[in-house]
Amino acid sequence: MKLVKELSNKNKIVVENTCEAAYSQENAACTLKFVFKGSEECSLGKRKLSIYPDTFAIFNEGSSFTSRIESITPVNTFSISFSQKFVNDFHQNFCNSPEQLLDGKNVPAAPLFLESLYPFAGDMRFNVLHLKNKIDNGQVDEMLINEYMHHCLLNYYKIYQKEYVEKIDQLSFSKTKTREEILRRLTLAKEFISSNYNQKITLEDIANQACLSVNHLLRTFKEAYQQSPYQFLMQVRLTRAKNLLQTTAYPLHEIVSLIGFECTSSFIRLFKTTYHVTPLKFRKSSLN
Amino acid sequence: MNQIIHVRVGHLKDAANFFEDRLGMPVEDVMLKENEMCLRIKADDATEILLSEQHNRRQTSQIVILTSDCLENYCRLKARGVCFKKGPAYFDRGLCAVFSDPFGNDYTLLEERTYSEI
Repeated sequence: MKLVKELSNKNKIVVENTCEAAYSQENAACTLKFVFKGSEECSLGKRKLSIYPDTFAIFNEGSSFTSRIESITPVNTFSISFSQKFVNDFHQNFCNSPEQLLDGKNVPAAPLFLESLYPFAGDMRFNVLHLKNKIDNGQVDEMLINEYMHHCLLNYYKIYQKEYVEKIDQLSFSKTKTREEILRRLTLAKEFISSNYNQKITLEDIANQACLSVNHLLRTFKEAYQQSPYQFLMQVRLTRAKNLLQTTAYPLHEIVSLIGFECTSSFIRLFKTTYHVTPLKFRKSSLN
Repeated sequence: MNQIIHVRVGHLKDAANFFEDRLGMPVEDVMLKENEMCLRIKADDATEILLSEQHNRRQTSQIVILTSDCLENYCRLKARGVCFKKGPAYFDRGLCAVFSDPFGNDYTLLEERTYSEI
């Protein structure tokens, strides 16, 4: 099932529920892609971005990517595309004070965003869930849908600030260009971990993907994200395990295997240490 | 148990028009005391507002109305001609927007959001 809703200002929302899909796309507009159930694999050049329910991806206008879904159970995807005018108007409003707007002072057009995976949490999650709920219920009020989309962009700008701009400042290199390049490579490392969390991946694999030496990766990763690549991998595995505990009836040993853990008891210990509840008690409380 | 908020208004008739016609909230006439006519409004699942022309100690001019979707109510009320003092804005408890009645009382539409995990 696929639902496409295009608004009069060319903003677009696509909802799809499918077990199989494969397409290449030249992105006509800036797009945010979400997955509510299952996962979608997008390829951007040589990069592989796997979108899970705890992440979302952004693709700039004009960007080419391929998308693939292959699953036994239906994968529920949701994407929001903003017309260039909508993004530029938003950017003007975001960057200017009301006085500057009245003076007609213009700021440059909206920047190209770092195409990557971002955490799908906080206000972005609340607003997208509201919007999805309205679309699922056949909401046709364009003013309301555009208001949600405006807030999604606002939420994205905040996430971008936190995940990119602030991280650049945390790196200890003196030259801005060096900091930007290092963060771009660290982003590749994070994407690789997030997209291959269920595989046996080594530090060497991650460092190769990021075009950094292992030592350089370890030092700069910790500087930017205040955790090691291994700690980030464990965080991703635990988050995905939580999602599987909440949304499936898979037995625990199967979940442990799906998220790339080898030993059930060490998974239970890590889960309990992190969340102060055992996986099964967590599943039970989620059902309630 | 329902929370009751006492609010002072200039004229009950104007207040009834504002709440019914502008906000789309049904009002009900009630006698608070022998000689005090009030209007009762069910603002949300847990809040009732009592409007009165007479002054009493329990009255406030800052009213919080809980909503499950602040943006939806903001758009609905804007479409009905309500002017907002403050558009939807984020803070540590969630999302809120503020409008006033014709008598200077401020109403905060609050969508509480829990950001912590587990």
